[in-house]
Amino acid sequence: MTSFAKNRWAWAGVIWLTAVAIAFWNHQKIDSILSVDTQNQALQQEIVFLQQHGRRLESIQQEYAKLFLPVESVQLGVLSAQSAICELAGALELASPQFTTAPIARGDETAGLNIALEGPLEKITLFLSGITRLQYLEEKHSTIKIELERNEAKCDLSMVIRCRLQSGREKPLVRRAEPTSAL
Amino acid sequence: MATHLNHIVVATDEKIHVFSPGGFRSNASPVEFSLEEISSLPTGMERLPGYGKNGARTLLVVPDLWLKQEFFAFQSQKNALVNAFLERKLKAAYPHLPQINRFFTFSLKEPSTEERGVTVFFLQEQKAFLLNGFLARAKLRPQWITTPALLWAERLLKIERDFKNQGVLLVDLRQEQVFLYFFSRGEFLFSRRLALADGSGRWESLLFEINQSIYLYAQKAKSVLNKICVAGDIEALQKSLSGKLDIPIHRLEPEGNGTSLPRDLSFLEGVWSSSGIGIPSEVYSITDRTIRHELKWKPVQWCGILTAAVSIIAFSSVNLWLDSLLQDKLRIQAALMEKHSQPLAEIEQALDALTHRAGHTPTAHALMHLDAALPESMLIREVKINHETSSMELSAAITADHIDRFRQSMKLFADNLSRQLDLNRAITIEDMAFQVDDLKVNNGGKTTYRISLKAIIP
Repeated sequence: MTSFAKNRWAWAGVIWLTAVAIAFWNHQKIDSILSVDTQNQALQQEIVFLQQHGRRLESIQQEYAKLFLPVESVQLGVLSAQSAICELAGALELASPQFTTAPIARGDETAGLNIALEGPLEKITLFLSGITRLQYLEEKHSTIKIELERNEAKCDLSMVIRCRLQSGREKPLVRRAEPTSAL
Repeated sequence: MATHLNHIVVATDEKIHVFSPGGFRSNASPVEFSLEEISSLPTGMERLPGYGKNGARTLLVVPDLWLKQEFFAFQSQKNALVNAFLERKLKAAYPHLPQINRFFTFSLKEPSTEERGVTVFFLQEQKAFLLNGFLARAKLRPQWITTPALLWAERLLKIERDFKNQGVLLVDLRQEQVFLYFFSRGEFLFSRRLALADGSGRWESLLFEINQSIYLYAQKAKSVLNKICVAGDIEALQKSLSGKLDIPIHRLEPEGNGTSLPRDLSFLEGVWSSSGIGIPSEVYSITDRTIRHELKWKPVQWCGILTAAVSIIAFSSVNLWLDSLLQDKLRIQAALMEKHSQPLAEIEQALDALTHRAGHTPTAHALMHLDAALPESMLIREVKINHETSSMELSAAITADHIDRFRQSMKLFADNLSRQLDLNRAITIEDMAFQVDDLKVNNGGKTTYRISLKAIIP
């Protein structure tokens, strides 16, 4: 009978522990429900917002996409950028720029590119203006030395090429550079 | 007397008789063990009816001599104090019986009586503890331990109005034996077992023994006997005693309906009803303290278990409901996620990037603003722009014929540049440094000053 009574205490303890555990579980579930509910409300609001401002948001996305060069690899992106820059310099009858690139880390979607260029001050200014149209290029540092006596300017630019890596089957290998004909 | 007992165990000086459930109603023979046999445990235990089953409600009837009563003077009437007092007293008085403090019951003397105190009944026979251990091992641990005298006392209390205030002798005549039980003010004093002699002188010898016992009673109880109750073979006994004792004789009706008990248990026939023996009250039985403790907590335990069980059922129901609710919400979320092809976070990121770019001044624009801000007398030598820190370092030369002209040129340039670049903090002359060491004096009397400037651009 003693062992039976002891068992009764044990049973009472086990049953109470179970009850408390279920209560705690319920509390967790209530928290989860509230959390999911909050997320759903936010999603609902976002959907309404997206529906109301769809066109504007699309144009923002398009503009944003221009900040990246869609390529298969960063190295190709660098070549593509160099090609576009050379085209720009050529169109302005400037001497070919000197490029130096930093080593590209695996998995990185950006690459550093240094450009050195010499020429008449007006053309250098036009070159700098034209390069702003290549939106995937982000300027980091720029140094312009002006030799007034010769009306020449020497330009050293440190830039970053922003790439978006894509599958070659879906997209062209290299996105064509922005037109420079305006210059 | 209705009974809810499973087993009745009756012990005599030589044997124990175990009545199985229902056995005491159907006149079935009890299982018998000799007391020597139970000391050689555990052999034969399986012969016990109900052996090994938990929760048996067993009554143990032991001989009157196995029980002892003592009176202790004690002022308090509080049960907890009396219990502790008696446990201490009994342990001290009977050190050879280690379990004695578990097997006792007591009755408190009325506060109005001369001497306040407590009368304690306790098991004093080693065999009783052995038997209790034997039954406990067979899962038949007795919940109540009583004696024939106490069973009679309980019966007399019910049928005799003044039993609590009188001295009573119960004469129970059974076949060739007579049992005498003496009670004083409702409490058992002593009992005797007499063999009834054969022949014509049997009643005289019985009368003699009764007289002797009454004398002993008077000495022990210090009061006179008020009543004699007779049970058993009443006709012959009442006839032989009437007129020979100066005490009223009262006849007790038989309790049972001719239940036949084994010959050596004939002393129980007077209290053995058709349904066996009823559960004795607390005053007329001893319950093991550990059992009493368990019984006291039993309702609490069951109440706790039931409350928790009900809570579990309620909580589980709530849990199921919450689960279905959560699943519904998750389904809604999945549907919303399907609709929501483009998270706002991406758009926010795009906006941030575009805003950052829009706020950034490209080198070409900076040069154009710089050109527009230049006074006639000033020429740019070098421009360094750090787009990460949005800072611009400028090196230029100003040609002036007088220091005031130089100052005016500098001020004009600072104002123009601040306006052109829409600077948050306007550039002042203080922000410009000029190198005196590099002063160049022209032939025409004009001086060229080389200045440098550092500004934060948008």
